[in-house]
Amino acid sequence: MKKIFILPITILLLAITACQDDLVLDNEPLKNDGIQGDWVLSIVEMQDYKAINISDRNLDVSYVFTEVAQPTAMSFNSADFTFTYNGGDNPSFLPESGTWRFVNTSTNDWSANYPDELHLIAGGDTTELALAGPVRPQDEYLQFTIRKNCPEDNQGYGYLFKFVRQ
Amino acid sequence: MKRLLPSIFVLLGVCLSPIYGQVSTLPSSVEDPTQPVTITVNIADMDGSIDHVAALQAAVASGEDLYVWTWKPAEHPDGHPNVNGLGTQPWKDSNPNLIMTNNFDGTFSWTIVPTDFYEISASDVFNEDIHFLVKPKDGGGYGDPDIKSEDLLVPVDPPTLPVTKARSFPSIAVGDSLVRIGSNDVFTLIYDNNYEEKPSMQGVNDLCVYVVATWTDYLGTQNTTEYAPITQVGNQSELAMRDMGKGLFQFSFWPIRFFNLPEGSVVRQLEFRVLRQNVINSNDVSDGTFIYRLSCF
Repeated sequence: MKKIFILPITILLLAITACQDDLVLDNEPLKNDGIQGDWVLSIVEMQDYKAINISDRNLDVSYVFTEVAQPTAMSFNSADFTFTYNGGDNPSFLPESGTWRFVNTSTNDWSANYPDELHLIAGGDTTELALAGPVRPQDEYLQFTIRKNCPEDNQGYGYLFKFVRQ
Repeated sequence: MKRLLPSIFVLLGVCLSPIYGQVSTLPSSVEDPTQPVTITVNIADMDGSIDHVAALQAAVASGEDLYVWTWKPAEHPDGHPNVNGLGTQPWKDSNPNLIMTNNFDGTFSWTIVPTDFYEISASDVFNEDIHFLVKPKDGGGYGDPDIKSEDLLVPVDPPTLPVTKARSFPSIAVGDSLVRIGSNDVFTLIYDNNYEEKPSMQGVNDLCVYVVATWTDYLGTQNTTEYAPITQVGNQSELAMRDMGKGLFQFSFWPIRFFNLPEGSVVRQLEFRVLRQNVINSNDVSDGTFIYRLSCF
């Protein structure tokens, strides 16, 4: 009696597996692809690293940067690793053009995978920007911190810039 | 029994907390961790009924040096010049850099600038305080009896600042008198209406600022510029304060652009008054002039 069921069950299993599509994984998109394109500054938080209370260390100052005739914009090219920065009517915190690279500082690696810094290279100088989030193709924002420091103040302050994808 | 519980918890808290009765500091209260502080421990005052403390007191009596072993507000990793101990058995080989000064009166001292030694910000020192113990170079362990003090604590708290209705962002650091930003930076005045002492200004939300900048041009010549006369600021929408909620208002601006100063100018000082947009008389003006000196050049 049991043998009667073996053949139909085997056929059924073969049919099920034959119907399954082959499992194909997409290649994980590189962060290089994610940063490609045009970006406009939309959110700015000023950061005060010496504030005694943690709740007093960030302040949204977006309106100073966004309620202007010419907003700040950036463009990145993932093919030739060039960038442009147009401060618009805002302070020119970054170089106007040059090349860029992602860096994973824990491995000191110029890595497109798991970067934690974005480096802008212009005129022999490198501006190191700490990434505040991933920049994959599906991410709406490119966000990084510009850290500033007075020579007589070892605690400093900074700006968190969030650019929205165009 | 219920009445006894709070007392038991207090007693437990005292017993479990790091001890600071045997520790003194110079200055007597540490309010500015960016300045030197001398921490002194009195070995004779420690509780000799505890085995590892008795061993420590015996080590001192035999003339051994003492070393600091510290883990908060930060602990340096292996390889750092100020790591607590060296080698594969660090507890048996304290770092010579952390030797204490023997005062030959039963006390030992250690002088540091906390932010420099721990390589962290003043606010982090305020948050964590200084936790440490003292031990001879060989603190025992690894099967041998420990030779050490109990855990010790130096509280580090900022001075109690008077509550003010106006403050800057970024803030002025403890022990400083300047707002450390450059001419290309954004300055913010934050006004807290909850601390407004004038009844006619309490609970209002149509606020704006009167602002005057003192600045120097590229030749170093000093100038003073008033953005608008105090009777006209209510007509200038760009002088309106933004409502942050909960009685807080902010006025953020980039002074160089706001005052349209010539290239090469440096803003040295900003002076504010807070008032209602529909100002009629002095009842509509908050008392006080808020002055901030800027420096980061």
